[in-house]
Amino acid sequence: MPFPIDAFPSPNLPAIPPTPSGPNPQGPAGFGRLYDRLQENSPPAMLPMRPIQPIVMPNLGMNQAWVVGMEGTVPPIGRDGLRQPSVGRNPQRDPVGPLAFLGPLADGIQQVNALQERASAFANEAAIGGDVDLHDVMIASEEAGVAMQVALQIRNKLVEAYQDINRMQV
Amino acid sequence: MGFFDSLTTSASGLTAQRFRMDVIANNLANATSTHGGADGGPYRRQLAIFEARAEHRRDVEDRSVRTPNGVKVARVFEDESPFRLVYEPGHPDANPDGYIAYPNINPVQEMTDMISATRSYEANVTVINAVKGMAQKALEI
Repeated sequence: MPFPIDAFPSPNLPAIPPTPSGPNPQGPAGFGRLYDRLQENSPPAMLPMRPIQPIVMPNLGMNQAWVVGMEGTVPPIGRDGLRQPSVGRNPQRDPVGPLAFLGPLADGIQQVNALQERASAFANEAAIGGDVDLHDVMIASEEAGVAMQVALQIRNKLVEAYQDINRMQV
Repeated sequence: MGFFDSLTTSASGLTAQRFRMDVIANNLANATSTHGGADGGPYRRQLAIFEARAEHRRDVEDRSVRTPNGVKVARVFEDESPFRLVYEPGHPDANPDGYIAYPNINPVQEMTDMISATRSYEANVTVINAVKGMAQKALEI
């Protein structure tokens, strides 16, 4: 059964913009934040978020327990403030064999979780009257919702496949 | 571009129209400001100039290509058309001939630009909703 590894694409929305921090040499006074947001390769800023708890898999017949999403350190944060998939970075530690789908699955779950946290951080910023655009709040919550729907559908397919196999006559 | 990338493009369009609306609001608010412009003169009308933004990505054959990625502000341009001179000899800002130079802002033009910015904003919101609808339909497969 092919596992759709691309089911959880890494979203590239800009992260929450920073609070006004210093002069903006290119933009006119007063237009700094929106002007900066629209430039190419504008640096993303991160809201401080809780560190994502690594998913630890128990010893399932392999030599040692391996930690999904860790290769000694937490996987790097990409431009958009979300963690990049860790499968494929360290081939020695990637799970292989019958449990090979657990790597992308855990990555996908972490990405969905990261999107949800990002949406709630945006909403908090808007609620306290922070320097955030309303359409960014709505788009972030929409993305989180769609990612959750995708995860739900994937889960449905997995469960259905499992039930199909269970129904096979021995 | 994936689903999230097309949302990024539309988000940049929304931000651009908001930026343009800020510029228009600034123009209308300063329609009679005789100070505060460059060189201490009257306020000059400002326009936002937009430019297509592109991002360097790697396509399936790992070549670096420029893919369209929305809109960015090229610069904020100050309109060089002449100021509006009004004859008020008793005013402290009057020049020796008794004329005050008011900003070169035409309220009718600003209102038209405002309507255009609003409609562009709504068009981008429509695109986002259409993309969202497509994604929902895809999940029904």
